[in-house]
Amino acid sequence: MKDPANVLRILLILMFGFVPIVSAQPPAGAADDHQLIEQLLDRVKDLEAEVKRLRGAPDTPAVEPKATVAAAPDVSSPGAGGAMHEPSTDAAHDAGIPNMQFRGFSDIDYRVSDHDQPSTFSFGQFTLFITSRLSDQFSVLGEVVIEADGTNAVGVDLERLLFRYTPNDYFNLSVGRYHTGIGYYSTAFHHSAWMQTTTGRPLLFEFEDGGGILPIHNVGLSATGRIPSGAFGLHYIAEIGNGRTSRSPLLVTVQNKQDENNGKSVNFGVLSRPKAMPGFEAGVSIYHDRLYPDSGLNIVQNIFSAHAIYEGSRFEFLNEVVVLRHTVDSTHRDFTIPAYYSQISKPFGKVRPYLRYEYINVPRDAPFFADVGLRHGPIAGIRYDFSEFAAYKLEYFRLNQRDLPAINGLRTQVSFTF
Amino acid sequence: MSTHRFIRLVLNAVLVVVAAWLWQQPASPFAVSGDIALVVRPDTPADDLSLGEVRDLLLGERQSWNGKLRVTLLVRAPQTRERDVILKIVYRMTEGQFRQYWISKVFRAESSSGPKIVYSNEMATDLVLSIPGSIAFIDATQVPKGLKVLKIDGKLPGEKGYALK
Repeated sequence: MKDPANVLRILLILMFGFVPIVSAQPPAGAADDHQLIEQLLDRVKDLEAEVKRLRGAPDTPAVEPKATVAAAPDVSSPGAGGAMHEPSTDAAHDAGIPNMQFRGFSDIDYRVSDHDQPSTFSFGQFTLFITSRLSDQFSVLGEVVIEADGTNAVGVDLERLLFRYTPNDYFNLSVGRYHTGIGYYSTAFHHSAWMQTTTGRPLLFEFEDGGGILPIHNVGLSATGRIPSGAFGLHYIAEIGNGRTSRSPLLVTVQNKQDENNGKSVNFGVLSRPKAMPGFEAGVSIYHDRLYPDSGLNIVQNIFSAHAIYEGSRFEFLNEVVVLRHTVDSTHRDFTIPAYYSQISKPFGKVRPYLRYEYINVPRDAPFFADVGLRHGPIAGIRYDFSEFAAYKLEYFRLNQRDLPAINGLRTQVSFTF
Repeated sequence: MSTHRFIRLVLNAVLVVVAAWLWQQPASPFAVSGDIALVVRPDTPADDLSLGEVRDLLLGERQSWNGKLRVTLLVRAPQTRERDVILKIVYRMTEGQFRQYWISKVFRAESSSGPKIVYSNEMATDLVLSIPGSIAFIDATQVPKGLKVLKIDGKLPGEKGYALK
């Protein structure tokens, strides 16, 4: 073959024609490996069967397609951008059993102050958050908290247990134990220190067993949903439950198993998330209950709340005001408890300085929470997100109290989700 | 080698190269755009969404199509162009903010689960076909037949002014 053109032509044919064929050939040594080929063929058959099963998935919407589950460990792992950890549940799916998703939150703290209490290390709430979708419209949510109390004894609390019916965007019904939809903070951060910018909750939203004045937890029914309102982005909340224990402050504060009376607490709220202002939310709510303390008084409790918050990538600005009014039936005398907080923070990379001022004022002769008294003061701190899922916080606080010396102190915390 | 034969040889080579290039191109009507297409099953009751509606869907603010059919979000894994475009234009969040947003969303009981992660456009299209109400964002040059491409603000991928690019 003396003609160079022929040589070139043959080379081109080899390049464009034979290369793909050659590349598709098995390695020379593998030609005799029949066992490997058989295994590969079996694998192809398995995959074809899997694809057929997936194609049939629309007829069985109650069980998620297996391919979704196959993606789930990363779907849900923080590293892949999901929201929940979904353990390997192929066996459960094969049996048609709903799978369960877990997420954990916890924090470790240290605080020191000029108060007469000694400085101390402590672990905060160890929160296990569990969800399970039973079908397209039914799901279960649980929030279990393990924490130590003031006596150092460790206990377990079921903070939330909700059986949810979610047929559409406009009506979602939950039954069980829930966080009352008063204001913003309580239903935004629940029992997660990591999600909060600061080390702790505002005084106003302290939990009942921590001396809080609001019925944070309730057992009953809760309905939420969107209100067709276009750009206003309106949502509603309607709740009915047992309300807070009132007979004695020594009793468990949440009426989990037995209500004291036939009267039920009700709560209604409306909030707006305008489409033109992503991250902004404003809302109002009114809560009503009747309380029957051992003193024999019948007391009407009304709680009014309003909030305006902005949580965006540039900054956070939370503002909430709550007014509790207790009216004694027999004398018509009103006791009003005003409380508010304002909090602002701005991220600079992984560092987020923050500032909060809070105020709460319970009258001396109030039938409830008189021990809380007047408290107010600032908190200034800094949060450093050293990982996407863990943060270190250091804050200074000053708490002014009626008839008592002010307390100055430092709190520091490592909080995380897992 | 004569000039004539040389020209014929070059033409042959060019033809082979062009044929090989064409063979590798996907047969998509949006082949030239490189935009990110929003794809659903053909029976999904939507054809044209505003960017605000797309944002509502992806933020989990709107979780059903006509009040009945549940929306299932399929989002590509991190470090893919599809995900980057969605995070930048629709979510307006960083990767970290996106993850924290969905952790909070589920924890607040505002959604029963976060988006499903898919690892390839093929996996996304397979799942869209399999799961009624699902929605995925894939490279417009890789949209296979059998899927509906939704308009955004009246525009399809490849059209001037299309939002997801």
